[in-house]
Amino acid sequence: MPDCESVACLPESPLDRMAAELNASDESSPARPVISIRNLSFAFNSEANRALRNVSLDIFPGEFVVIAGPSGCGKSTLSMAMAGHIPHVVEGSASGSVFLAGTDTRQLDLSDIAAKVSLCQQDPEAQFCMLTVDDEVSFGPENLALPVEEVARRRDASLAAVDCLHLKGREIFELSGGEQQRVAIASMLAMEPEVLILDEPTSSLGPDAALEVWSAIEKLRSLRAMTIIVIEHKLNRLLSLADRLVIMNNGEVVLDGSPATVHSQYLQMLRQHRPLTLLQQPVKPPEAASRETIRVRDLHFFYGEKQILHGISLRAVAGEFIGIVGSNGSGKTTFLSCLTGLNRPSSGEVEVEGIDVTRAKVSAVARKAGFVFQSPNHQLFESTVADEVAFACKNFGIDGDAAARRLMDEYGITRYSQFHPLKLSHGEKRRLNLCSVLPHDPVILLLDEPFIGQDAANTARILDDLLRLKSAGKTIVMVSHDMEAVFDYCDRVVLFDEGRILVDEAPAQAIGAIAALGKRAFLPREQRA
Amino acid sequence: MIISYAKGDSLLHGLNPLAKLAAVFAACTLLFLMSSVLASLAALATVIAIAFLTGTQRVLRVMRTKFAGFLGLWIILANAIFTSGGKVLLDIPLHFFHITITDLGLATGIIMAVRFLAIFLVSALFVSSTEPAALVYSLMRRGLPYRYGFMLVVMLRFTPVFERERKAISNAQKMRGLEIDKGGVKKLYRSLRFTLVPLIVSALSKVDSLVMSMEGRAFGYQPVRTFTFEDRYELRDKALICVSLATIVLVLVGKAISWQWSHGPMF
Repeated sequence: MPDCESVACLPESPLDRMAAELNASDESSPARPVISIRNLSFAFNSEANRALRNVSLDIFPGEFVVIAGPSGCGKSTLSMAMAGHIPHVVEGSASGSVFLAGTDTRQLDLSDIAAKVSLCQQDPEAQFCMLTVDDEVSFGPENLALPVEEVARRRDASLAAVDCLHLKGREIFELSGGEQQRVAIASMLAMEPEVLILDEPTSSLGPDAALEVWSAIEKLRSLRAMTIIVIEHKLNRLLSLADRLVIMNNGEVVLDGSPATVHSQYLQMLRQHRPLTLLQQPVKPPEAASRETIRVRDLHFFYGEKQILHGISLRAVAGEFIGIVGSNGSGKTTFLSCLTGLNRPSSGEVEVEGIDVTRAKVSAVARKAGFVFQSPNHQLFESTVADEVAFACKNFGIDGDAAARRLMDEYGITRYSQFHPLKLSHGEKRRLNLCSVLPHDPVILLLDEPFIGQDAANTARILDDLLRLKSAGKTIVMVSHDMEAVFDYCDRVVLFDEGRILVDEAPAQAIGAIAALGKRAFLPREQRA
Repeated sequence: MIISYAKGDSLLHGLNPLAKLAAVFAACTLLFLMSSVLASLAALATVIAIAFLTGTQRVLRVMRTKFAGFLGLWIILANAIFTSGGKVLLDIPLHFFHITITDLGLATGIIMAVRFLAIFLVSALFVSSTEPAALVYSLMRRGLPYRYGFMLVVMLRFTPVFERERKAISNAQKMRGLEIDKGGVKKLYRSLRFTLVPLIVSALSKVDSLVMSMEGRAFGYQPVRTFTFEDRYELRDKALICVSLATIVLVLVGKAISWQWSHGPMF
């Protein structure tokens, strides 16, 4: 029988005392904020580069607040301050205060704050510390030394709240992206916090998995009188749920109010200050040429004993831009790897620019096909931006200096040429990734989720870059969860499902075909209803 | 062949990890102190029989690998060539020295090779039937401070993550023309520079998230914590631990008496 090593009573913390005082106060008085931020400024390294600038914000009990803004505007830093990780875990230079139920978080232990505020971070995989779903969700209550029965009650209640009771007993690594994110939320709910902060909970999920997570959040909203703060780029789904929308820019709160009003002001602001292609009519691409660059016939791929791809056939020509969509785990990334020989097809034909990929060396295919992988940091190898751009040419033994200089100019990163690539922002790293696969002039470009973690401005920049490459005759095959980008910019939309191609059509026809299959999550937002 | 934990319902799977650990120590002690070819072969046969009887014979496949074959042969040859004494079986005169193989050298080589194989199989039986996290939990339940125990749990948790990331980095290198597999010292340098650095960067970024996740859930808040992990500790586990400890004591005492018999008092 499981037993409790120690059932200790939690000592009364300063927060408990403050909360008790708060509860005992006159009920007729106006609600006091559960989190109150006053003139908060924070810098990670240098004072000159502040992540937060004089932020003041009140969050009231039971509110659903959405915080949005461009990449690097300080949203995640603000969430760390609200959860007490700044100043207790994250080092840097801070001024101003964050009050939790009226007490300065600097005067509270992190464990006291943890019992009231939970932060669910962007990447669920990085925050899991246990090997099974049960252990992960029980981890917090176990740390509080609660009785075994109470730990079990909280575990089951938290999993039920996000519709994940069926995942009990499963290993963490077996879970899909959507399941991982919901288990991460459950593991925070098990702390029974008053405030739950979700930092971009769907940023790396496919549209169907994102729907699962949003449904879980909607259910939470209706079931529990909990304060929920969501940090998110994509606002449409959240606008109907939120009580307030807060917009940040350059470390400051620039807009704060009702979602509808603030959203329209935000869009106006974006239009005025950033002429985004995404907000304009997309440029109609030129007609694709007829030279065949990719030919795949009846491709099957097994990973161990599991079949991942089932008879894929696809053809692409020069100047064609193909968007591949589908659930996490439907075989999209495996397919891109098969196109390059990184995964050797189990059977079938794969030809890239006339090269038989089933027999050729990866380096031979790599001369013809550039591959931008999902994680920007996994593909940065050199110590300066200039060397990073020239890296492939050096390995292939070709003189690419002039091409590298021209591309750095074209992609606006010449001013960073002597910077370490890891010092660039997320958006700049993505541009560097794209720029780095071009100097040896590949005919085909493969991109795996290029928009993850990118705001609308960065997404628009990357799309502009891709359209320029398309007009230069490159074949582009892009895997993406961004349905708007895929349907507005691609010549063809290919829907993968469990290792098979269900739809391969021009965007206008693909909308009907996908809707007929009932897979509306893979349609642009306005077509989903 | 990689030996790793495989789910199962064999007798070995059902034993408490600490009881199995005690049995492994006892078996290793016994094997190290054996000095006859027949006894070593009997011990190896016993380990193989245990694998069959407990339904974990999967691990015996390791005996068929090239690695086991080459290593066993190398141990026999090295001992046969370099152990002096005993009856000369073969003498090969070379320009500067003779290669002399004696019966003692050959017997020592066979004992060492069988010992190596038996210890390897015993360890493989333990690894293949013991869930790593269960072992750590058992250790924590028996007194290992939980802060140290969770270092091991986190390490186990992130091993497959980093393996996947290493593969992603390697794929990105290949697609930009870098072939690390070529060359000796150069390969090592390129591996360190182009694989280790991105991997460490990734690990460090995960450390931040993990610390926030663990501390944000009150890790370290109490000197002791609740464990919901069910640590089975039955009569058979207690019996196995007693037998293992008794074996170690008996073998050590027996060895000491035999040493005293042939060399005189120890103290």
